[in-house]
Amino acid sequence: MRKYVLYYGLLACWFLACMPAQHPAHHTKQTTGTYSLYMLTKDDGNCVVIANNLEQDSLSAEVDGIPLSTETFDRSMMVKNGHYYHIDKAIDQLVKYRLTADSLQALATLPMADKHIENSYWSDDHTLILFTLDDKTYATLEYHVIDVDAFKLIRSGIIDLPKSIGDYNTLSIGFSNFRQHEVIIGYCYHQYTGITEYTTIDTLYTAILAYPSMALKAIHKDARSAYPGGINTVQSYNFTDEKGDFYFMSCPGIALGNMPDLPTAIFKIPAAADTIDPDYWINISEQIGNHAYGMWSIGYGKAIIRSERKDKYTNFSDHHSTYQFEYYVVDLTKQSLTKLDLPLDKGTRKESVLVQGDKAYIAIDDAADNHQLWVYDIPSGAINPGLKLTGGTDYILRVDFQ
Amino acid sequence: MNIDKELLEKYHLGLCSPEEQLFVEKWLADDTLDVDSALPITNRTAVQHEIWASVLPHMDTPVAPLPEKRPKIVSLVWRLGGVAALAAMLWSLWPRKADLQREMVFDNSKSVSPLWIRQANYDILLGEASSAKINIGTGKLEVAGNLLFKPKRNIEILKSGVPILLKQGETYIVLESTDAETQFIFTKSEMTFLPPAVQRRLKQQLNLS
Repeated sequence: MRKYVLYYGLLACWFLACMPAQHPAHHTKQTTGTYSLYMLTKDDGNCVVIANNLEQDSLSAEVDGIPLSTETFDRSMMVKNGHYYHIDKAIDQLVKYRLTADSLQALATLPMADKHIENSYWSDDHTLILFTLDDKTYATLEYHVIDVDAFKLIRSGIIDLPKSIGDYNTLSIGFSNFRQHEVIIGYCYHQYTGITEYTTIDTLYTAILAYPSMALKAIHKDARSAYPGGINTVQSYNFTDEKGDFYFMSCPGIALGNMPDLPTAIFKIPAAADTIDPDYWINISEQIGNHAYGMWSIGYGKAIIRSERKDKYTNFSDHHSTYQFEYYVVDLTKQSLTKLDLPLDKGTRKESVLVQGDKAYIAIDDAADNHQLWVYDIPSGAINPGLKLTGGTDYILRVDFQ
Repeated sequence: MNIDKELLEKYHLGLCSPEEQLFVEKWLADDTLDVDSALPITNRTAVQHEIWASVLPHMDTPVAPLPEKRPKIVSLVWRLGGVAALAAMLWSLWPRKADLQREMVFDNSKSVSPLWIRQANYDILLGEASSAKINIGTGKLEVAGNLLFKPKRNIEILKSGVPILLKQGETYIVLESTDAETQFIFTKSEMTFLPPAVQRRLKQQLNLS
């Protein structure tokens, strides 16, 4: 009992001692800038820090971070031209926000009842296209074309995909690839085998839709892997290169498909075709003996991928907190992998790579409790430490251009 | 590890590692340790001056004259009130022992909707078709199905045999494990790391946003 009294007594003195230092150093938090970093903090909070330079200095979650309510927000958000977009489930609306010194301030809303976003695509700076599934059966796929300036729904509709294949009766959408007159959707089916246990069908599905009508034209299958891509408001899994060829990574590991006997692999849909190239794939799992999640183009016919280490984690109870993630550069032509000399990272699925010109910024939360951007110079391959995140940072979950 | 001012400050700000947190909790709860030796103060006068120096800037200047002495009966009422307030504050800090040592069994296995259960030291939301055995005295938290666990004070639970601290005011998601060796306990913020197919089911079953 005496110690509780002593503890509160010490705290009281300490607060008094701290007060004069806090008042003069009133800090104005930056709300606009070049980069937006979304972080999970050690007190289980979320915050956003704005940075103008990822190559040097340090910023603190505690001092510079703008806290976001964990009741309303998580990292699955879209950041574009200074605005943030996220579904607020409490009001069942898609909300457009701007960042203020206190939080994200709602600017406009659009009804989005009982839906969650599986995939997003910016057709231009003013038009956002969302693909959603319903929150009850996870089997009804809809698209929504949104004018983000007026924040009005331009049009929406149901995409008529088969709702099940045998006992596999829920959907996941892994990618959308927009062509001039077509959209190719990558998707898969899951089956729940217990209250939360699930597995994924052992086939990659692609649907070809007419664009802009979104009418279903054809469905194709590829049995080389499972779960094509992933939820791209959380992490990137695909890109189109300068020749117009579309690359995506399949993710059958436990963090997405939970069909780990199939390999993680990179596939291509060539510019001149609308089906997966049957002769091209890079079998990542065969080369590194592990699964990967996350792929970012760095130009020069190369991409960075983020892979797990199965010798380090037990199951998904410690998958996120284990320092295990490695980054590799994949040469898409030579089909070779080169491991980057970086500390092991933690955090299951992160938008941790941002490419700007000839530099790739890679955010790593390492075992020494450093939360650091690393600057990878793409032409030379040199890696140097950049911006440090301090002050209670636990995970850097997103790095975006604001 | 030693108890010192820095560790207590860290503890208060919630910046301790789980080991440090447990260490401070144990120290606070243990009345057998000697306070003076745990927090050695070598120079009492210097510390007194330091505290006074930090308090002084917050005092109004010029110092107002002391009020006239009130009749003794009023001052006695104030003192009794002060004692009562202090006692109430300390009582609220003290762990309630009602369900500390008993194993509580909760059953929602026949239901298709989640069920809130309020206890002195925690609230739980038991998911559909779920049941749980909880003994916070021994750290047991066994779940068939899933539940939300909201501690009303800091509670030590054994996760896969290793003690972890579940913090007052935080919401934890506890999942049945098919593997007896491991237990799945996540904070609400950590839920974002679960596979999307698992998150969907949890959100539906536990009415999570």
